[in-house]
Amino acid sequence: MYGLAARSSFTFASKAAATATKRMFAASATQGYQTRLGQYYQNTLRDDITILEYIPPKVRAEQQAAEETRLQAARENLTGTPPNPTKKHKKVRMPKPKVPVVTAHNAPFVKSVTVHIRCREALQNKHHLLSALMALQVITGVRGEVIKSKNDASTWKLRKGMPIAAKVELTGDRMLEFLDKLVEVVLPRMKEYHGLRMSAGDGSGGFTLGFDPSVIGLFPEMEVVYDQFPLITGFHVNINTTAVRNPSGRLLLSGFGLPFVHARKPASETFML
Amino acid sequence: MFRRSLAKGLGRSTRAFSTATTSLVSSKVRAGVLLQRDPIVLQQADGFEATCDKYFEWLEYISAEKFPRDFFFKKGSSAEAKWMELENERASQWYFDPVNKPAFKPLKKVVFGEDTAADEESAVDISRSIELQPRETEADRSGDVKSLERKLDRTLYLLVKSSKGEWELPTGDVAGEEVLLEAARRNLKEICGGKISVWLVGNGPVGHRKAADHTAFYIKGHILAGQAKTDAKLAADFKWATREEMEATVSAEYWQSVKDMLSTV
Repeated sequence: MYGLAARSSFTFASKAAATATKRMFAASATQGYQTRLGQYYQNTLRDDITILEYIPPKVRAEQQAAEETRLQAARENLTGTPPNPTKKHKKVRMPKPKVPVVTAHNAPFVKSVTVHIRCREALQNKHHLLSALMALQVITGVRGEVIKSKNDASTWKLRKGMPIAAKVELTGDRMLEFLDKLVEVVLPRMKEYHGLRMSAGDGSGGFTLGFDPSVIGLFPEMEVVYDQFPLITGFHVNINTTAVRNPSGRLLLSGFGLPFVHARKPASETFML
Repeated sequence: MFRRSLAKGLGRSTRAFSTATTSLVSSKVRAGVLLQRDPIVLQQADGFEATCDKYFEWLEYISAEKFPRDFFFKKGSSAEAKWMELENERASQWYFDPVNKPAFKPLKKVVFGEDTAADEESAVDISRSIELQPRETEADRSGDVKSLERKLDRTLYLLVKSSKGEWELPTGDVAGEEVLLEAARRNLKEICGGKISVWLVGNGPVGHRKAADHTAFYIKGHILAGQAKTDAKLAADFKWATREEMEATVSAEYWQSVKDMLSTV
């Protein structure tokens, strides 16, 4: 019905040749210059980001000195109450990587984009996952990978090893084409989407967007085959960048056209009697 | 205040000046704008690069996921037939592996019936070819150096001809307590008119030029809309030049100061 096993009219003369070329391709693919976003980044955006992120050495020294005094104060715990000796020591969080000095060669760039669909209907019937896999293939052009659960969750009748989600990881030109499609076609078609929040980002250069099931039909490839899907699901898009902090990541993604807006408080919170 | 141009400062350790008498900042400071029109079309490779790109494109084509034809098209429909035609044409261009060229399968006969009639209405017309605009515009053919639609795959920079007859980036004085960015914006408006929409990158300069009586700092900007219209008192003429054209137009000494700010494309 889905035609996942369909074969087109072309057959490889030898299977060995096909696998050999697949290995060759993976190692030698040109990364990120054949697309609009790739060339824009290399020729224009990278320079602009370097200029905007540049901190003069004197200012940088002042910032580092201030950071050092802050860390020193935190270590010595000069502020606040003395520590409670009966309480156990907190786990020390791994320190974030230091912000590197801005050079002409280390502007942030997108490393990979993961499109992920978690299919709750697959709990009852694992064949529902086929919809998710097909949707991912239609949107990204890459065959999706099935994800099995790692833990049990009795409240949702989830057992370890059940296939529950599908994902696709995109790199290089495919990733940039997907991002371009998202920003230029899908997001503008969404109802009442204004952009990512300024608080978005995981602090280490990762940004996530979550979408309702209504959004998947907005992709141009889905227009043709929308009716053939028995199950329409929402999806998440995780953008991994080489930025080390949220502001750098925001700068990069806004350069690619992703809007960022301040979260607006609801009226009830702004005015209280 | 930036003591070195960005191009010099990046990637090199700062050294002290050997002579204490010469200071980077002279008595007079001028603010200019490196205004650029970014490339509009993609760059196309030629020669060996083009062959390489074609080879990688072919590798990707043969190693990509098989197109689920049965999923997208109804069997025997005219849309499927059209797609098969296009695919056969594409596959027949088997450049790099003539030994493993797949056999050309003849197309199925299109069956006209009730199914195909309904399918025709909903099927996407894939044989509709996309009409590409030409990469060479009218401005390219006529050599109109004032046009913003010339050399679509290159970066163009705004040059103005000063009253002395020298070609340079639009530069002007810094007045009073003005910040460099404000001075640059004001100078650009005075020289090029108000009908130009510009985005200046950041607050600081990307380059400088030390002349005998002044030091000029240049802030990078992108033209978003509009066109320059030079004030006759401040500038005799203007043009939008590529990197090579700028090198040919400005003086050799001026070129040494500005060349590191420019894009290679």
